[in-house]
Amino acid sequence: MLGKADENALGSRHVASCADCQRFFAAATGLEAALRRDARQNPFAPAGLDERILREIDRSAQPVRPRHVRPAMLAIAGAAAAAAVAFGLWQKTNSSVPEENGAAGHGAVVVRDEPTTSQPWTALKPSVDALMRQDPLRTEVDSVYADARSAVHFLALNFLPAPAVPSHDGKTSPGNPAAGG
Amino acid sequence: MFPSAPRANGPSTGGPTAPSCDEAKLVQATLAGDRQSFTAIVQSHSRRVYNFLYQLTRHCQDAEDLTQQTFIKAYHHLARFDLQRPLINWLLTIARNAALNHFRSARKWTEIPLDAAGSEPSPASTAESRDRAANLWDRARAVLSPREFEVLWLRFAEDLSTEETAQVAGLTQTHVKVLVYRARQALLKGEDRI
Repeated sequence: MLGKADENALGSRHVASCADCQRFFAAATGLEAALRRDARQNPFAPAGLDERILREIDRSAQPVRPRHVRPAMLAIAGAAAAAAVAFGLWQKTNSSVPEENGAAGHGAVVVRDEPTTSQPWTALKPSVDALMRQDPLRTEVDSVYADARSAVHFLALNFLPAPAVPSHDGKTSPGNPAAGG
Repeated sequence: MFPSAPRANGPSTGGPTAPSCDEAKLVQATLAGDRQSFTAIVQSHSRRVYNFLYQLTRHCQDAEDLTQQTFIKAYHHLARFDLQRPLINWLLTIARNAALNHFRSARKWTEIPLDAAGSEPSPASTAESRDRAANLWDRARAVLSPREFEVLWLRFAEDLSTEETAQVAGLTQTHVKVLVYRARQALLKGEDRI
């Protein structure tokens, strides 16, 4: 298989011996030179164009500098991300979320009996306990654990449906999320 | 005479040209608040931008308005400019986008001849018209598609490399090569595709 250098050499040898190719390349080269030459015959820019451009720019503001993200925005974004992660973790592991049950029929909502907050944190507790035994990290882990628990409580309180309220016909119905306690 | 800023690599054949160190300094000085630096940028490039826009619009006033728009946009977005690229390429890209927006908003525009202000053509304008009739670019405009013409202008009048032409025109390098080849063939054969 020929390399690029070999192809170029082969092409050059062909052009050197081919009258048609020589004519073509001579015409193409001449055309490009004529295009460059004729481009210089185009009209001047109108007189005073630079001044008008600069006058228009003077009417506008200073050039925009690169934007810097404010520390407060970073803190808010970080807090939102932490809340989203906590909520996702809770949603993934918690089984008390009401779900449609086909066996119950007629769209009835069945709520499981497990407590809202115990399951995910009991699963995490051994590792947390192990960490807390290490004295230098004890305070830090304790605070992080407390923060996470309070965040989950807060999210569960505000965004999850309240425990189902039995209706008169014996079916259960979801409570008012806003009134959940 | 068509203005041409000194190019680092001269007429290009393939690769992109190197950016000017002075240009980068002018841009940085402008961003630091030096008004005179942007004046120097305008004075260096306004004619090339105007000529490019005039080739696209064939309308003196539109070309001037769009040139103003181009430099105002450049001034306000100078922080986005990549100092590794030649400034003229960036300006031509802005100018092309401004022209496209202009074409979208004005569905139809009429060409105003350069000597429209006078009723009697002067000897100078008559000679200019004769020169323009013989100008290869006028023939190219009649023979080529707008895209072929634009690419040919960027490639040979602006002396941009294939890569730079592709960047300004928003095309691939292969597409640019094909368009240049077709345009060259059409001009060599004197085909009239109108």
